[in-house]
Amino acid sequence: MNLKRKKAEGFSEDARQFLHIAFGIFIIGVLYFLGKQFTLLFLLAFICFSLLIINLRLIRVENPFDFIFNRLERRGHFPGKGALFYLVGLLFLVSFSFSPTFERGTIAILAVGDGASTLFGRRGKNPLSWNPKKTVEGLAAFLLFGFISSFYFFGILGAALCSLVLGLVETLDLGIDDNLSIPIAAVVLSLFLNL
Amino acid sequence: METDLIYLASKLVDDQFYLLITLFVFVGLFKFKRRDVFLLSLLLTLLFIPVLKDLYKIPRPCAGETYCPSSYGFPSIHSAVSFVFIFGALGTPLFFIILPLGALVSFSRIYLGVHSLSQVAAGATVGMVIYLLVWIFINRFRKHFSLGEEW
Repeated sequence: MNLKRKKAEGFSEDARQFLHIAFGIFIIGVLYFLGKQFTLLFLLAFICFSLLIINLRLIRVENPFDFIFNRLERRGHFPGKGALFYLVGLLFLVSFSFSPTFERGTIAILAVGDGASTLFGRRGKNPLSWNPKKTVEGLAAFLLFGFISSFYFFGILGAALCSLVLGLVETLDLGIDDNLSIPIAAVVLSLFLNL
Repeated sequence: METDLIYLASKLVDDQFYLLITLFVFVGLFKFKRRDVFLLSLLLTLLFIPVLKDLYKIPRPCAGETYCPSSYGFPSIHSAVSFVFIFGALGTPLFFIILPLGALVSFSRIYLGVHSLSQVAAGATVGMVIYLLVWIFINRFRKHFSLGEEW
């Protein structure tokens, strides 16, 4: 039974990460085709809607969206935690980026790099020396997929630098969800690079 | 009538209505689940937003007009405070009143021309991020002393 549950949780975690990657790419598409203002409005509205269904869950009112939590919710966390942090992180990136290239590139790293890092890192066998909760495989996946996904926006050097900096931030045990720490680090980086 | 309602919504968290703001804070302190997180988030938001305004120095859309506040526009402190209240109300039935109220306050700043959408979105984000970070750190503190995590 434990093995069955473990398999189900593993499948849920993979599903969560694919959704994480897909949604990030979707937001880049919205930015590209519909512009920043629409994207801000969309993300704000989506966050408010998410908060609404999270609150229904918290006060234990049954609603048609319960199946999402049942399918994708991580055990031991408050409902919708991962999704909420991710949405807020995306909104933070879009709000505080003043260069379209930078905002799209960093969203690509957050979505694809971070998603791939979890998919491969969970299966990794070699813990990092500075943070045993993360693996070498996870970091390598972040750097590789982060670079590939942001290369179109930043070029070779920019993609390598951003993927490296944000990848290292992701491995630190700051106690903050990656979906917040990566956007915050990206915005601080943009201030230093004057983007 | 519609304009009066929106103007009133904007004034709900304006610094001229000290009593009203104090009332809202007391409601929060009595009714919200995580009073510690709410109060600290509110204080940090009120401290941090002016710093960000001076850092980014982005003018308001109404800059130069007589009705326009003199401070910079990015990010909006009204929307930041609104979203701290919204997050604070999570887990309570009061949320269903505070969410539309907070959204109305944020929208009113755009409607009145004192902020752009970008400035309101940035303010909302700062309020949310500060609340979530405070929540994380206070929970770590509680975990350390075996007080348990809760929303």
